[in-house]
Amino acid sequence: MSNSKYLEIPVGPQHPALHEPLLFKVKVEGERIAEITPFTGYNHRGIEKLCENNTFLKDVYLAGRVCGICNVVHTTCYSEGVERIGNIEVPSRARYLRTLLNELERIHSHMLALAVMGELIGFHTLFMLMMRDREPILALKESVAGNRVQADYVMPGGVRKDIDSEKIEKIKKTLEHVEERMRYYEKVFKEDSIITKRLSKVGKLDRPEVSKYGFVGPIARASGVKTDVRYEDPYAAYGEIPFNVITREEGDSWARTLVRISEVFEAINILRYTVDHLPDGPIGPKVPIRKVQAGEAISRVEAQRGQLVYYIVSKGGDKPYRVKIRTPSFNNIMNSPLLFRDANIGDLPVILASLDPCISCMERLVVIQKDGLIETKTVMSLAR
Amino acid sequence: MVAGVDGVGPRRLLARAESKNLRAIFAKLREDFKEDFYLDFIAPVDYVEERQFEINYNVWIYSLKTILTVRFRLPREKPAIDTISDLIPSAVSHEQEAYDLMGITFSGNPSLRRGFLVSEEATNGFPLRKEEENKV
Repeated sequence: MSNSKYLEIPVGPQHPALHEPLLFKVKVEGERIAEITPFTGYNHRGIEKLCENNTFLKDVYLAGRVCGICNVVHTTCYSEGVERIGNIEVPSRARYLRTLLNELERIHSHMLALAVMGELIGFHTLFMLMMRDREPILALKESVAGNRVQADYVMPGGVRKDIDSEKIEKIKKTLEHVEERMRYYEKVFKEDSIITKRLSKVGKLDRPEVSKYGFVGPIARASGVKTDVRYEDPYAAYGEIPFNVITREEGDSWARTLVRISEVFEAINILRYTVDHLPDGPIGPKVPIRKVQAGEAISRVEAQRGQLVYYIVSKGGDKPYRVKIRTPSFNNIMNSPLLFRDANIGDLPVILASLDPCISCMERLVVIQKDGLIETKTVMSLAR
Repeated sequence: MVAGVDGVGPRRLLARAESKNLRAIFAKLREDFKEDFYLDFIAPVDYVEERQFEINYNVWIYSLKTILTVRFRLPREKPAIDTISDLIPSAVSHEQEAYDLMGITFSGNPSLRRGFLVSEEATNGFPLRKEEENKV
């Protein structure tokens, strides 16, 4: 596609749509997107290699720093992997507290994604209101873990801090308020004609493409695939908590948005169940776990954006031999050119926001869509 | 094709096979499970003392609620294995990553290039290999 009937427009890396670096080179024919090339790799820190060179205990903090907004799921996934290798029993109170913090994180992350979606459609007030209503959840996270965002709460063998009845009351009260506000936002996203027109039938993804291209999380569920690690491969206390896996059939940007809204309500129900059924007992080992026997484990958790995987190999001692991290955004964004087929250039930001991309989690690659085929190149090779 | 499948934990299956069977295994998976699975990740591991690379292909099978790991061993000198990117399109980016970080060649994948994580000039090698310990 080298002829001049296409106009190339760079979108990013300092992004009008996202607060993270990602560059899209878009070739348009009139208003239609003919070719789209995401350039990523502005945020790579080589954490897998750093994990090999640090101890099991220090790696908890490295895992939490893969991504700010998903730090609890990363530390949960890493810790569950270490526990699988070492056959370490986690007290049930700690498992429930892990669930609690994971769901708090899911609510604030989904609310952020929904707020950004509102902003991109042009509803700045909706963005401001949702961000305001998200703040009490972050305050809850702070009261439980000690920090608004970077919790460092989950450790191999348990969690770091306990909660008391006062905090439980505070959680219940805040959830009532958040649920009421979310009912209102649900109505807005379902009924506002501008929102439905901007999102319906935009960025469509069909059921067979989900497995072929490995899409995960809310994106897969919005295309009718019932996949959720919490239900398929339970970790923390999810095996003991009743909840629904939300799916929709439409497969468009609107469906992905509504899946997130419904998941917030599910998360609120999970949180209520968790605090009502919180078992008594210890929350973790008295002494931090520093050494793990030889072995290997695949640990999977349901991050806000989909299945997150850690593959950890230990040869015994205090350092892992290999840590492989596969984040949900790696699968979702690398294959995203598929969703921009014949889209209007004005739809680019909403399709992108409907994927809830997390660039910190991603890695350095270039994907090029050409006549429906996906070809992969690196930044360096294109620069030559 | 596969030298036995072992259960290695709840919802975890491990199969070992020879690298020449890779494409046949994935063609069979596609034939048997159709859209019922996706490629979760490809994890290469450098076993420097054994002078081998291990490469793990992990697929999640929705209906079985199981992760199946297919494990291959490759010689450490010029490690190469066939691509499956034509059978499973999402493998492109996983293969790209494995090549750039560990230096495993996927024959038939035309998009393998250096410069994915740390440029070749900076490390003079593949960053996740064990000999790169003190360079990154």
